[in-house]
This record gives sequence, C-alpha cells and structure tokens, in this order.
Amino acid sequence: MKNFRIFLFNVILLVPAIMFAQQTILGTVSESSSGSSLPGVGIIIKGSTLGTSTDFDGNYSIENVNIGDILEFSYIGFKTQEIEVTKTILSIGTFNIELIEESNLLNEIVLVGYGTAKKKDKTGAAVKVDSKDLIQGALTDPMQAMQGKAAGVNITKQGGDPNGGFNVRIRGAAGFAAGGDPLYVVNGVRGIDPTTIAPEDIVSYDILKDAASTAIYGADGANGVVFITTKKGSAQRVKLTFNTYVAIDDIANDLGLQSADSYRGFIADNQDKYGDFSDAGGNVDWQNAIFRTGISQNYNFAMAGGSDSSTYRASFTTTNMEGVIKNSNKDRTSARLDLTQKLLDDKILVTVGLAGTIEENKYVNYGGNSGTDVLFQAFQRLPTDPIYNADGSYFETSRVFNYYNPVAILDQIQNDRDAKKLAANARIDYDITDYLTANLNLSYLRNDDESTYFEPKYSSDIGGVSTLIRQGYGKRAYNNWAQKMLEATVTYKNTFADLHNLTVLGGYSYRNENWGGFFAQGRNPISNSLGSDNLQNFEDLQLGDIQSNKGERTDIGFFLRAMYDYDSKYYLTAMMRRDGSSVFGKNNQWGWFPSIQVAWNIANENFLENSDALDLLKIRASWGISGNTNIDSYLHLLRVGPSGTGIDPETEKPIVILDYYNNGNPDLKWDANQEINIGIDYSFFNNRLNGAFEFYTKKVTDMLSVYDVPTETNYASRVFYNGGEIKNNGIEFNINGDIFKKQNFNWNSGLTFSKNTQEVVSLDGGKYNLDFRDVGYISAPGIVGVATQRIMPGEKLGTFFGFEYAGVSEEGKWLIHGNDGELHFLDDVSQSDEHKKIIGNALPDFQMGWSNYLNYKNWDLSLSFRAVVGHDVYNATKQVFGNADYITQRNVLDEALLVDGYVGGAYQSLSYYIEDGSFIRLDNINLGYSLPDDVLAQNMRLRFYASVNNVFTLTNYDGIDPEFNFNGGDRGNGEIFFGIDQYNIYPKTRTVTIGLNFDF
Amino acid sequence: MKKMKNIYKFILVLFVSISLTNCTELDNEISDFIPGDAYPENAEQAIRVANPVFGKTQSLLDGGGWWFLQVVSSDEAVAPTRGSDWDDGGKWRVLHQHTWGATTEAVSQTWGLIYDAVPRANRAIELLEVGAADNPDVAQVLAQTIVSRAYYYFLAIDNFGDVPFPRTFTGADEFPSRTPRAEVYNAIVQDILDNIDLLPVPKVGASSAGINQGTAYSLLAKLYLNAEVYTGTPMWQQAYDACEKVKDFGYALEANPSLPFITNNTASSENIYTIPFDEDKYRGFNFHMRTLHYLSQQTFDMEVSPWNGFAVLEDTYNLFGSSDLRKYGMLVGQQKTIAGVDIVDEVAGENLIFTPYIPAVLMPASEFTSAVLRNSGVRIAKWEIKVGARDNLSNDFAIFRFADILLMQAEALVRMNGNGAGDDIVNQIKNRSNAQITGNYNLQDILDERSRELLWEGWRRNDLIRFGEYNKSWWEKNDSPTTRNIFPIPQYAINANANLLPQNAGY
Repeated sequence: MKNFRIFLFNVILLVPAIMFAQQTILGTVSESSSGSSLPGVGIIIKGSTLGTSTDFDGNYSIENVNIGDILEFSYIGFKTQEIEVTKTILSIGTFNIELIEESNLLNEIVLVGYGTAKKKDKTGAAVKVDSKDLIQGALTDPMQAMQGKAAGVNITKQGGDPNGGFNVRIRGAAGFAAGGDPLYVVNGVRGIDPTTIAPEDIVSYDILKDAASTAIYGADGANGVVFITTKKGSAQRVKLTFNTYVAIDDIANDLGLQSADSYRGFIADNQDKYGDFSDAGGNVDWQNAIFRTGISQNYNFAMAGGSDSSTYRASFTTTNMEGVIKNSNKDRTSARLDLTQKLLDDKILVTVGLAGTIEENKYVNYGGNSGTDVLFQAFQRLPTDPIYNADGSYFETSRVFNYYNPVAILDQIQNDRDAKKLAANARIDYDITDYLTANLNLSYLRNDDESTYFEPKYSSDIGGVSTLIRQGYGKRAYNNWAQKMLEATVTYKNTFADLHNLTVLGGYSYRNENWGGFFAQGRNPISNSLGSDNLQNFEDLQLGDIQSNKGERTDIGFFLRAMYDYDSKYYLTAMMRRDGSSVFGKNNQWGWFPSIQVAWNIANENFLENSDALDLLKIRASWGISGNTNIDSYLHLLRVGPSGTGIDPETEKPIVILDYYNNGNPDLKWDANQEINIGIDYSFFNNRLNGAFEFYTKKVTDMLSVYDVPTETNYASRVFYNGGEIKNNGIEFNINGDIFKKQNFNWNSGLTFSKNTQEVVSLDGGKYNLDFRDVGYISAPGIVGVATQRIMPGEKLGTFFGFEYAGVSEEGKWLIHGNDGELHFLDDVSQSDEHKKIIGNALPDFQMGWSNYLNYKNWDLSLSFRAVVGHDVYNATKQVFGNADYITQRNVLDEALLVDGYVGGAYQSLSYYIEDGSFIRLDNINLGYSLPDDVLAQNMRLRFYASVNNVFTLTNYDGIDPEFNFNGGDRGNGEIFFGIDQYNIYPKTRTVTIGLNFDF
Repeated sequence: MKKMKNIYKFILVLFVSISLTNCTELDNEISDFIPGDAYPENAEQAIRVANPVFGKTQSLLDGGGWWFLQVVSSDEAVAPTRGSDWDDGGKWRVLHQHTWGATTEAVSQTWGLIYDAVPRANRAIELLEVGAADNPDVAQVLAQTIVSRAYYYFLAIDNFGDVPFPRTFTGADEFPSRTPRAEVYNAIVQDILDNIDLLPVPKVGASSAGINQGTAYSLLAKLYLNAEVYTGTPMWQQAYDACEKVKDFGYALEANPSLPFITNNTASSENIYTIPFDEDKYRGFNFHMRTLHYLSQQTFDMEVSPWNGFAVLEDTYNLFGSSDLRKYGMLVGQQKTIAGVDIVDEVAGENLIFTPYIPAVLMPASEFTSAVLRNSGVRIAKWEIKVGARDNLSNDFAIFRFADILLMQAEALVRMNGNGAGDDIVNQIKNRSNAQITGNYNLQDILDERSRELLWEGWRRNDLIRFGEYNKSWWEKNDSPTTRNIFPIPQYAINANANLLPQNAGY
C-alpha cells in the first residue's frame, strides 16, 4: 500500500511539470518613457502562426508557449523586441515589457530633386528644417524663419523694410553679376516667389547644398536648391486651423545725432568759429518725426480633410505689415487649394494645386541721398529747423544743397505697387507596375504688377519768397511675367535578393518664361489731386517718357539618375543632366552636368551592429558640376536699340538715336560650379544626438560678368563674357541633441556653424587684362566718385581698398601710412592709387546659430541665437555725419563735436571708418502655452504665444545695425559689393508679437 | 503580357508627345531690340548711323569733363569748396592748382568721351562708305563724319599730346599704341581738306548744329593757329586764310554782345558750330546750376534750386572796364527777386550780395562766416537764364563762334606782322561791346580781349598754353611745370591697354 501512495504522489507532482511544458504567459506592455500602457501591440511566437495582441489596458495573454520559443513584441513607432522564453519566465507565468520609442528621424523623408530619399540613405549635403524648428513670430518673409537653422545657408537681411526681401546665400558668393539666389522649388514647381507663401502653410524646407546634389537641376543648381513643401490634406478627419497674431514693431536702434539742445550748446561754446549760425528756432528729433510704431496683423485659416482616395486642403491668409518708417506698408492676401485624388485602383495619383496672392505695397524712398530719400534728409536736417511754419506749411530753407523737409516728402510722395501672382500646377503619378512609376508635372505661373508713383508740385516760402521745391513728376508702370513648365519622369525602383536596392530615374524638363511691360511718365503736373491717376495731367513730356519691353527664354533639360545601395551599407548615386538654355550663345547652348556620390554607413556594418549607442554613422563623398543661368536673356547677341534722343542737326528736331547696347558673344555660356563635398552624418543614442559635418571645396569658373571693352575695335563698350573665377572652401557643422526627454520636460538644442573662405582667382580669365575693379562707391555731399572696395585676384570679394589712417596732424589734417612706409597728408596723395592698400574685408570669418526648444508640461519656449563674426563694415554714415565741416549746415554725430582743434572731413576711402561688425543676436524668443487636453474637446488644440524678434544684439559696431547682405548690391555692372553702411538702410526693428494657434 | 504592352504603349505616347512639342527647340523670339546683323534696316537708319558720333558733343560741357579741364584749370573759373559742398575728394581744387593725377575724374571723362566718339565714327564711316558712291546724301554724311572725327582727334591732341590713332574699325588693333602728336595733326588736317567740298554750305542764321563748311574751316583755323604747340612749326598764314574762308560765308557780329547767348539763339549770325541744347530734348547745358546761388532761384523764378559754386576769378572780373557791355552776364552785388525785391540769405543772416573777392579755394565753415563762404564770387549768367528755367537750359552752345574767328585772325596778323597789325579787327569786337578802345594792340592785349569776349566758352586753356601763360601763378595756384600743358593718360585706360605706356612726362 505504501508504494502505491508514493507512486500517486509522484504522479501528482509530475502532472504540473508536464502541464508547465506548454504554458500561457500573461503580462502588460507599456511605453518606456511615460510608463503608459500600449494597446494593440502585436505579440507572436516567432516561427509559428501563433500570436495575439494587447488589449486596451496593454494586457496580453499568449498560450502554448514552450521553453526556447522567441516572443516578438512589435508596435508601430517602437523598436521591435525579441524575448527568449526561459524556464524562469515560464515558471513565473507573467512577463511585462517596456517598449522603446523608435525615433523616426532616420526614416524621415528628404527631397532630393525629382524624388525623395530616407534621411538615412541620403548621399549628398542636404538639410531638412521642419516647421516646428523654424523661428516663430511675425515674419515678413518665410525665409526669415530659417535664419541660423541650417549650416551653410546664410540668410541675412539688411535693415527691416517690410517690402525688402531676404538675401539667401548657400556656401558663399558664387558670382560677380549673375544672381546668387538659390533655386526655389515649391511643391515641385520652380519660379514661384517664396515670399508669396504664408509661413503657416509650410511643412518643411529641404535644402541641397552641394553641387553633386544640385546637378540634377543642371544649369540652375550652382547656388543650391531650396525645396519648400506646403501642408496637404489627410485622410483622417477634417481638420480646421486658425492662426492669428498682432505684432508691434519699433526701431531697435537709431543714429546718435544731436538734439536741438546739444547742437545749440555746442554752437554757444564755440562762438568764435560758428558765431553766425542761423538758428531757425525749432526743436525737432527728425528720426522720431519719420519713424512710427508699426502695428501688423495676420490671419490664417485652413481646412483640410479627405478620404481614403482623395484629400484636400484649402487655406486663406491675410497679413498687413506696417513698416516703422511712416507710410511704408505691405498688405498681402493669399489663398491656396491643394487636392489629391487616387484613381484606377490607387494606381494613379492626381495632385492639383492652385495658389493666388494679391499684394499691395507702399514704398518709401530711402536708398540714396537725393532730394526724396527720407533717411538721408532726416539724418542731415538740423534739429533747430522746425517741421512746420507758424501757418502750418512745411518749413523749407536754402541752408545747403539738397536739403529738404523729410516730413513733407513722406506726406507728399506716393509710391505704390499692386501685384497679383497666380500659380497653378497639376501632377499625375502613375504606378505602371510594382517597380515602375511615371510622372507628369505641369505648371503655369503668372505675375502681374502695376506701380504708381507721384511727386506733387510743391512750393514753399524761403526768405519770404515763394520758391518751387519740387517740379512734380509721375509715372505708371505695368509688368507681367508668365512661366509654363512641363516635366516628365519615369522611375524604376526595385530590390534584388533583399540586399541590392536600385532606383533609376529618367526625365525631361521644359520651361518657358515670357515677360513684358511698359511705363509712361511725365513732369510738371497741372493738378496735384489728379496725381498719376490721370497721366494727361503732365505738361512736360519728352522722348523716352514712354517705354516698353518684351522678351522670353526657354530652358530644356534631360536627366538621368541611378541610386544604388547594398544593404543600406554602401551607397552609390550617379547623375547626369544635359541642359540647354536660350540665354546662352549659339556655340554653347547645351551643357553636361554630371555628378557622383558615394557613401558608407558604418553603423550598419556587422562589427557595429550591436552597438546600441550608434544609430547612424555615414561617411560620404561627392563630386559634381552645376551651372548658373540667372542672367538676362539675349546678352549673347549684338543688340541695337533706341538709346536716348538726339537732335537732328539740320532740323533741330528731336530724333530717336539707335545705338549698340552690347557686343555679341556667341560663346556665352553658363558658369560652371565644380564642387567636392565630404560629409559625415551621425546619430547616437537612439537619435538623441545627431548631426553632420561637411567639408567642401567649390570652384566657380567662367563666371558671367559685364566687361568694359576698348571701343577701338568693338561696336559697343560692354560685353557679357564668361571670365571670372572664384574659389570657396568651407566647413559646416551641425549638431542637434535632445538634452532632456522626459514625460513632462523636453529640451532640444541645435548648433550650426559654417565657415567659408574665399578667393577671387581671376576677374576675366585673362582676356581683358583686368587687374582689378573698383566697386562700392559711396556718395554724399562732398564725396563723389569715391570707391571703397576693389575686386582683385588673390583676395576675397568685399575687400576694402583705400588709405590707411595714421592719425591727425597738429593743424588738423588727416595723415595716412603710405605704401613707401612714410606718413603722408591725405590731401596730397588722394589723386592717385599709389598709396592705397587693402584695409579690411566685408566677409564674415564664420557664422553660427544656436536654437533651443524647451517644453514643460503645457508650456513651450524657443530661443534662437545667431552670431556672425569677423566681417568689417565701412561706416560711411559716420564718415558723412561725423564730419566737422558740416557744423552749422547739417546735423552731426557726437564724433564731429569731440574733435580737439579742427579736423575737416576726410573725403576718401579711409580705414578710420572701417569697423568690426561682429555680432551675436538673439533673433527670437517664443513662449507658448497650450491649453491642457482636459479643458478642450477631443482633437482640439489651442495655443497662445508671445514672441519677440531681434531681442538684443551684442556688438561693438557703432552704427545702427551690423547685419548686412553678404551677397552684394549688384548694380548690374559686375559691381558686387557689400558691407557698406551708407545711411540708406531701412532701420532694423524689434518686434513683439502675440498670437494664437487653434486647430480642431 | 498585357501589362507589358501597356507599359510600352505608355512610354511610346510619352516620347511622341514630347517630341511633338519640339522638345529641344531653344530659339526665342526677338522683340524689343534689333539684332546687330539686321542693322541698319533701311536707308533712313543708315544715314542716322553717324548721329551718335555728332551727338557726343552733347556731353562736352557737363558729364564729359572737357569743359572743366579747359576752364577750371585756367584763370577763368574757380570751383571753391564752400563749407562741406564741392569738396568731392578735391577734384575741383586740383584742377585749379594743377595738381591733378591719372585718376582725376575730369581727365578720365574727357578721354572717355573722345574714345567713345572715335570708334563710333570709324564704324559709321565704314558703314557709310558702302552707300556713298551711289547716294549723294550718304556721301555728304560720310564727309561730315570724317570731319567730326577730326574734331575729336583735335580735342585728343590738344589735351593729351600723343594719342592712339585708330582710323578703321574692322580689323583695327585692339590695343593700339600712341601716335605722335604731329603725325595725328597732319593726318586730320589732310582729312578735313579732302572732305571740305563735300560738306554742305552753311546757312547763316539757320541751324548750325550740323557739320558744314563753316565748321570745317573753323576747325582748320584752330588747328593751324595752334600748329606751333602741336608740331613746333607755326602756320599763322594758313590760320589767317582759313579764317578768311569762314568770313566768306557771311557770318556777322551781332549788334549787342548778349544776343549770341539768348535762349533762342539758334538763328544767331555768330553761330558756326553749335551744340543744340534743349531743356527737355537735348539736355546737358547746366552752367547756371553750377554757378548760381541757391537763392538765385528767386531771381529767375526757376523751378529748381541751383548748386552754388562756380565763380569767376576776381582778377579776370577786373579785366572788364566799367562800361563794357559784356558785364551784363556777370552777377555781382545785391541780388534781387524777379519782382525786384532784395533777396535775403536767411542762413547767412544778411542780404544776398555777390562779392568779387573770394578768400580761398578751400573755405571750411569753421574758419569763414556763412555769408563769405556762400556768397563770395561773381557768378556768370552770360548765357541767358530764362524766367522759369529748370535744371537744363535751351540756349545753343557755340563751339565755334564768329567773334572767335575774328580774334584768331587778329592774332595771326599780330604774330606775323607785329603789334598793331590786328587793330581793325579787334576794334570791331571792342566797338560792339563798348569796351575801351586804345590801339597798337600787342599779344597780351589780344589775350586779354579773348578773355573778355570768350569767357567760359572753353578756349581759355588752349589760349593760355599757346601764349605760354598756362604755367604762371594766379590766385591759389602756384607756378606749374610745362609738363602740365597736357593731361596724363587716365589710369583706367592704361589698365585696359598697356600699349598706352609710357605715361606723359611729369605724371
């Protein structure tokens, strides 16, 4: 009996053991960062068809599990985890797991031109900036949002004119005369003006920096390519968005001219010299009189939605921007509609986009020192001259040449423009087979604008006599421009043996632009109230007061690109584009633009596969040639046309003179930008730390420019020719890190750095013996024909050239260090170049940007810093208004009053006026508060924000603002110059914005 | 299989549609200009081909720099720096003090004007030669162009000495070197002589803006008169004879010295070769803007305010006798508005009075009162400033004027035959101007009479050099070396063409 009891006991003991051999495991799956449970997580026993998923609370139970089985937990957006079932797990019976979020970073899509690539697969120097990373607040231009965000993409704006644009330069100036702006492609369509897109509609910017990437755009790619993508509809649910803001603008800094008291005080202290000063009894701060607080507002409304087969998005935006100089204004209203529709079993996708913009601008003249330039007139005017006479009329005087009341100018002169832009595009994507797609992209753009300008006839009492101040002038102009484009591509994309990925793209692009315009002007109006609205108003008309123009250009391209990678480890991309353009000479209309890129993703190698910290470490190298076609049409032809009027000697009647505009050049071609780029992309710690290095060397040859030629043997004195050569070398570096990433607190910080060194190798390719070119002429009373910069081989663009200041002699005369090592009086040597030398350079040594995004519960804060270091500025404003010769005739800076003994003005290019313009600027602080989810209805989001732009600037520069366009003011004459502060810069402003974002 | 056929069909359609759109056609329509190989399009344009050449004289007075070099470097005009105005980097002071250099603006501008005109002339001559055999109109324009080119070369050798001398366009040397002055002189004299009979006969009292025989003989007279300066060999007799030929056309002195300079002076009997300025249609005559005070706007009811600068040298002003009618053109003393009211310079705090005395060529505001620096200097209104004038005048400017021809004749006689040989002619000039008549005029008297009669007409430098006086000192100018008798080749021209070296002596 005892044996049977033992046997039964053993059997009872064994039964559970046998039962445990095939068990059920229960558990909960949750998210590692927040701890919240995850519903819908898939769990399968690897190698079998058995599986289950978690319920709403994240709980699961899986049966028939054996020791040694592998359980695979997978959930979209999270890293898949595999767990081997051990005896311990089975015996416990429960297993909880935390899944780690997979950063989408590496799978993010970047645009590469006629196609896309995953960020981890890109082989060129491309940068993507998402809308959440952009600068917030009231932006006059969408490009402003990108300042400091992408290394090597330098976006600057001189001053704060709402009607003035931003200057975008990618990797250093690459031309003398041909435009240096990058190519803008908006939703696949070229030629759209980026300022017409409401910033709220933009999803992301993708920028191609190196020639190897931009070679796909061939003859247009030399200055880089900026893709702008706007928001589209989605198939999820109807989404309504409303954004609005109010912004208040004030000038950030004004010029330190004298007040009425300080001026009078100085005169009183110096009666021996200035005893006969004519004091008109006023007490005016003229800068105050022409500036105001600008109040701007913006409203944006969008609606998006769709179904499985179609989506739509419509948006409407209206903005009114008031500039800080009175009467300067920009009103812009735009609407866009984007539709997508799938057809034929989802094989065909049709995308249609329609966008229209209406803009009304009110301009103020400020660019020079003429009688209608408001800034110059306000700066120079004595604070002791009143604005108005006792009877309310404007006070005018004959104090000095070219001296007019700026308040009268602002009140009287009308300078308006009305512009309309329309963009329409349609795109068809057809999936022919699983691996072959075809695409057709058609677009039509049309811009029209009409300008009105009127200066009324205006007399004023001077010395008791009515004197005519302005004769009166009016002008109406109308311009139009249209572009038709057709692009067709075929793409083959396949994977062989699970390892070889191949994408081949072939395509054709056709683009035709045409434009025309006319204007009519007259002088001496009989009625000021009619203005320019009725051009019959003008009594003085001359030949040449009616003008018109018309022209067109055509650009055609064929391209082929193959992208191959082996198991996401080794990449090879090769491209070739053949481009032709009508703007080039008959002998050189077509060109080849090849490029090749290789990359190696070390992080995917077997020996690094188990490294958890390293997500991406890709080394890449590329070489390519791209071109620049940004020149006017017809310059390759010998052109004859009306060129002024003359008098017929026999009849003394006016005749139209026909003359040669420029010499022909059948060899005129694109300029070739050859670039080698080496880069490293890296990403660590689950993409918490990522960034890139780039090293590049870029050589632009055959640069287009205008040259003066000896007219002994040429019809005209100018020719457009490919001659110059510039080298740019640089490094770019950016790093981005999620410093904190907790449930309630995030802090993401990004740093960009770029340094570009440049050298002008040749001005003309040796053909015209051009050793140098003087540019950067400054102009002021007493200063005419003085050039401050010289372009010379061996130096960078923006090199300042003039006399080196050596002090002031006892009698108050300027001294310079001559090239012979001796001291000379400036007056003695000013008539020749003998003692001139290089005295500075306007290009920065490096530029940096530092962006921060912080998030605490429902609050968000972003800070964007930018630093530009090492550029010199020629402070011509100080040279003009720091001139003691002006005392009693014009207002002056403190500098002019502080001289011990008399120092007259220096009327030459002098190193004394060159200052270091380095600055650090906090571009933007943006603080936002989003209402908590429990307060709002489902799917609603409401965020309030306050933003300040141009918060503060740290700089040693003495003038109004140290930021300049490092691309050049181009007078269309091969004259590229920058870094000159010549009282003609619309003052930079500080803007405070409050606004809200609302979606539901 | 069906799927494959669809693919081929699609690709075929794609290619066909692309090629139907002329997929590689890049030619563009030409709309707003005439392509060079289609020009001139017809006979009317062909004749006009030379107009840009003739029209270059439009820039002689202002933007062209030539007038500044002739007059501001002489004792006729000064452009003082008044406070902070008119400093312009010293470019006016250096003209007065003879310290200009190869980068002085007026020097570059003058060279530029000449070498803009010359190649256009060469090119026009080639185009015109084609039609000249058949068409007498074209032949006449051809002759006019050749003489016009000779005029510009005259300016070239007068101002720069040895100069590049291209005479053809097609196949010309792109980097010419300099031809000696005398050689150029001989060639252009010959050009004129060869073409003079093809030129139209002048109609005195009609328009004188075209090149006619009067122009050509006047130019010859100028060349012969200055032959000693250009070649070393004087040609006084030939100068006299050329002047006689000019007289044969019937030019006559006007009764009053102001008449050749009125606004509508096109019909003046003294005009031989003019620049037919017009305030709207042919602009470039703005002496009044440079010389008049800001408030002179009230004197003439002008529509713009002048720039207050240029004045006449006090010593030159004093050469005029008190009864000389030619002082009509000199603004001195209390200025009045158009209504006759005294003008007050409210900035200077006193009446607007022009004084002949100018203290210095550089007058900073810290050393001189406003009244002095603004109002000193006698201003020149020799060319009538019409009521309501704007920033350009319509008066024609005579490059060659009959009074000049008469004085040249008188000079030639004195040079050949001694003092007093030119009295009859000089007295004609003095008579009509109510100037003091003496007699037995010597060369200095001739020079002084030229100063009075031809004030600001652009001949003073040329005269002073011929009389050997250009290097003497006056007012703020010291003695200068004779190398200053010609200007340097501008730096920009040398940079473009190294064959222009060596630079003129003394620079």
